[in-house]
Amino acid sequence: MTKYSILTPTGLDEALELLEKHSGNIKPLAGGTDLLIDFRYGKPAPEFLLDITCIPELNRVKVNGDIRIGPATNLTDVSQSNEIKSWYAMLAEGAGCVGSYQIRNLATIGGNICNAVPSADTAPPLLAADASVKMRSKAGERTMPVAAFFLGPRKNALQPGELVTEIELPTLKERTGSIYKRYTHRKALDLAVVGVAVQLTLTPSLEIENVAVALGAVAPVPLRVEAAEKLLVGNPYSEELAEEAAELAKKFAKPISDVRSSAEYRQKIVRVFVKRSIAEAHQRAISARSGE
Amino acid sequence: MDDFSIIGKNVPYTDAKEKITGKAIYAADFRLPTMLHGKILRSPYPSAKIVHIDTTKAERLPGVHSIATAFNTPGTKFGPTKSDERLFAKERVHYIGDDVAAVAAIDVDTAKEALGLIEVEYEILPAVFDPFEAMQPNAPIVHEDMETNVCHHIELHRGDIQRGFDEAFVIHEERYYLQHQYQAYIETNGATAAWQGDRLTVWAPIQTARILATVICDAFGIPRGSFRFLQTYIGGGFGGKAYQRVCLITAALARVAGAPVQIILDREEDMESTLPRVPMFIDLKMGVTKEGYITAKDAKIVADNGAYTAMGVVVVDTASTRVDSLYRLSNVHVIADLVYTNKVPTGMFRGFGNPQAHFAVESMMDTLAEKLGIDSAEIRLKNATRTGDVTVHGWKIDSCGLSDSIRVAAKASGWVEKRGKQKEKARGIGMACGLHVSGNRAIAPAGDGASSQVRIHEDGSVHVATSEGDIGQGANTIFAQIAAEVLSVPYDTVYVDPLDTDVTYFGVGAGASRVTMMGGNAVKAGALAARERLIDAAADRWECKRSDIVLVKGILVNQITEAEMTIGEAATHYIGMTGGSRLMGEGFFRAEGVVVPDKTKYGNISLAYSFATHVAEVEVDLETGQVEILKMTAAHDSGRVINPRAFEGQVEGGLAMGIWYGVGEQLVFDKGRVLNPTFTDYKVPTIRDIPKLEVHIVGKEDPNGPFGAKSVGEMAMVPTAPAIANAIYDAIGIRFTELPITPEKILKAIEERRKNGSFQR
Ligand SMILES: Cc1cc2nc3c(=O)[nH]c(=O)nc-3n(C[C@H](O)[C@H](O)[C@H](O)COP(=O)(O)OP(=O)(O)OC[C@H]3O[C@@H](n4cnc5c(N)ncnc54)[C@H](O)[C@@H]3O)c2cc1C
Repeated sequence: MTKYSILTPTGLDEALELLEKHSGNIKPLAGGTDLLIDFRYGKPAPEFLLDITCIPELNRVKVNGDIRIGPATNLTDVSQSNEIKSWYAMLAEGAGCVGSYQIRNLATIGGNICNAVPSADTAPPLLAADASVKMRSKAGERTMPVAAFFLGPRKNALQPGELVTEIELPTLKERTGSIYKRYTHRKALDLAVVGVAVQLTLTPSLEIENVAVALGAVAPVPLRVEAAEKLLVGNPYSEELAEEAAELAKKFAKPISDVRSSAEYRQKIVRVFVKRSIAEAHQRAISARSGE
Repeated sequence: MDDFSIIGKNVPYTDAKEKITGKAIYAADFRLPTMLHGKILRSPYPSAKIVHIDTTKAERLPGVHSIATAFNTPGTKFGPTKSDERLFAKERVHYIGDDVAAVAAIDVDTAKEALGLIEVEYEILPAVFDPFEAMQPNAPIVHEDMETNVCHHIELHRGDIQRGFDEAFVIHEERYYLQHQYQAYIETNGATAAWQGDRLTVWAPIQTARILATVICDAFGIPRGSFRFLQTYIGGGFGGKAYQRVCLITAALARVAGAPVQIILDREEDMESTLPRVPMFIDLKMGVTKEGYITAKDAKIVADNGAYTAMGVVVVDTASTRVDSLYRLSNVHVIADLVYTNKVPTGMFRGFGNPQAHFAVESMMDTLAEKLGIDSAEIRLKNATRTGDVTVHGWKIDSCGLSDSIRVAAKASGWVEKRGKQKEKARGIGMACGLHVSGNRAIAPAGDGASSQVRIHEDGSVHVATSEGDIGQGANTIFAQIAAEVLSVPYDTVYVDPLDTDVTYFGVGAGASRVTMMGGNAVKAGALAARERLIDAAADRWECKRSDIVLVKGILVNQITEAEMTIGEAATHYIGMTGGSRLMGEGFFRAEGVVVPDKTKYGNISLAYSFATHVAEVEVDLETGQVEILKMTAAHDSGRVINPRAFEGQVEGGLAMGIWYGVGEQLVFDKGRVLNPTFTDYKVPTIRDIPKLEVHIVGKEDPNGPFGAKSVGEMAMVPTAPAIANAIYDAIGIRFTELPITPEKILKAIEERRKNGSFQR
């Protein structure tokens, strides 16, 4: 049987203390919806699990122009936060489509990115948002763009003794719209075969001022499709343009074939979903402008 | 108007409260004092020789109690239809998942750990996975002691097939493929077994006690009187729990351990080693006249048995014949082979071969209709079997609402307005029909029938016992309704016993959609017999003629003196009157006119046949191939419906299962290994994937059913998948002949046609 002790620090300093003290023999535990399943499938458990959900400063959404999300915030709270919904609809959607109600009530945003599977549903939105990840250990604090945080399937940039302590989303301009769309075989409780996040800001004259196109589940790490972004910027939205950008995204994606889908099908879905996501993000950006 | 007080009413399930409140004891909740927990070591190879098994290290692990292998358990061969199974593999393993050893330990984790310490040396042998390859003369032979991989072969002729095709105006041929579908019950298989000397007791969620009893007594060489089976609550069975080896393995391990043992399969194990639906290739050829009348049907079936047969033989016989009674056929030919491969054994699953055959025939009916320019509903109405028919295989159709079901489903779904008219939206509507049995003599050739004991206690409460068993379909509810109706007592005073073979009489169990028909009739007979005993008691007490007495609302009334007595008082009097006999009615039911089919499979196998029409409405995303199922309309003839809500539940569950048989579910294999043995990758629908379901009852009273009832459980999913395939065709003009029809397959087909110019959208 998997045996471990759960430590429940009351503050961040104590948590970092414990991480250092039991170094090599401890792992952070958030919702446990990835970690405990790993144990069930035979991955060896450390002696200690550090429950970070009981640390208040890690478990809340703070808004002050920018949005700062504590990593232990559960996905229900992320998807229902009014600020996240109105500024970063794609993140609310990404968080809101994970698993089921029961899973979202436990699963955290920090756990989702730290676990770093290619199909993680908050990853493309965070990438498209240019989010940054703040990490802390006894030795100090550092911040990096989320793009640099993902190193490969189930690999992240954390050093031993480090905790993710905050996820920061920049302040946005008006006339911004975003969307997260994922392809799954069924409508709920499924993993993304392809995930697409698009965030798009319009100039007052409705040209695309800024755009981010991010893909999940089509490569070892979530990706930004810079070629597509470059193509779009500076132009007014048109179906043809979106189509062209989508074609670039399709070429850029490097998916694998597995029991969930063939690589070719994933690529085709990338094209369709990128095209549709650009169109819908554009619609939302227009609505955002008119205050709808 | 029939005046029933409980028949036809939406009474709640007898066990609803226990289940909803979590009080029901399922296999894994069951506990015996001193009970050990078992785990099974399974073969990692599809075909291999066992050179050596060493269990010493595992035995030394603290907490391990005993280990069972072929070397300390009986080696007799056994099986429900073919004796091709053993308890544990001795010299050879035949598929990835074959039982090699089992460990009993103080807890599940210790038993699991011990599995890793058992050392087995294998010598890998050639394996065969494709049934066509397995039929080749030089193919590796799955079972070393057999000469061929063909486990079962039948060929049947009726009428003159050649003349039938000669008379046809249009002939169409097609190959259809039906996949491995997993039952996906919430509760995995498991059992608890205990021996007292040579007497074995098994507690398990098994649907058909009789099959288990026969096989287990063969395997252990014990007399039938030494085996007792008690059914635990069943967390879904769908045929998959008609027979399960885990009961035998648990019993073997308990015997070696000298203590009670429980084994509950993990989900992965369950998906890799139980009995999914028999996959089939069906080469079908049918001919029709210019007017649309079917002149001939010729089918060639190759079915993938997997490594062991279970009930595969009867499944294939069903797929070969049953659908032929849906329409008025006279010229039929079929050749079918059930072929061993080194894959998971396949078996019983809701529909029992019938959904497979219906997919082929009901897809082809649409193809033929289109070629003739006849409407799909019209061609079905023209050919539909009707009340009074004796079909091509000698089946007597005493009641048939097929034509009504077509008309009702068509009207309710707006068939005429929608069919062929929504192509620009890539929307389509499609129809398929089906029939199913209400009991099948072929699954109980030695003797079919059903029995009941209906006991009345001194306080007037009623106990009903049968050997049929409730697997969640509501059998006990139906039995309680029938007993309550006959005895004119309140429904909630009737208690239906859990199945205990030491107490109950003969029964075949929940299979072949027989329980309402056979068990229901037996309960009715038992309740009628109990009513006679009540009248005996009252007549004795009042010293009057039996004919003076009537039973009204649970009260016995002497019509002459107007004296009254409750049935409890009568039951009390009966004890004194007989010197200790509890008031009990025994009911037996014999399916009059039903025969064991002869060698050519001719003969009426069931007392009644249910019919249904399903209409699917879909919308296809032309860029992704995704299908949105917009609505399903189902019209069913199940005779008189005893509990409408239970009936709707069966139909809705069947639709959900049938929809995903059509568009989603499939066990995927690579060299004999299941690639998706988890619910992460084997998808069953969630509630969001199920569209609006509309259920219509079109049945009238059947002359043989209890209060006129026929079956519904399996019928509910028989026509679903072909209705969807036909709807997809209506939407995009592409015919899919392989299940499941996934978005990936649809998109590929669209793109191919776009390339060659035959698809313009
Ligand atoms: C049934 C089911 C369905 C699911 N569906 C989806 C889905 O649709 N989409 C999806 O993306 N995921 C899905 N998941 C996966 C999972 O729920 C998510 O990845 C979830 O966000 C993980 O969060 P958690 O809090 O449970 O992480 P945990 O399991 O607690 O932790 C995951 C990993 O992150 C580490 N960790 C957690 N927090 C920190 C921190 N602050 N600092 C450093 N390390 C940390 C842990 O040590 C561990 O290694 C599903 C899981 C299940 C069981």
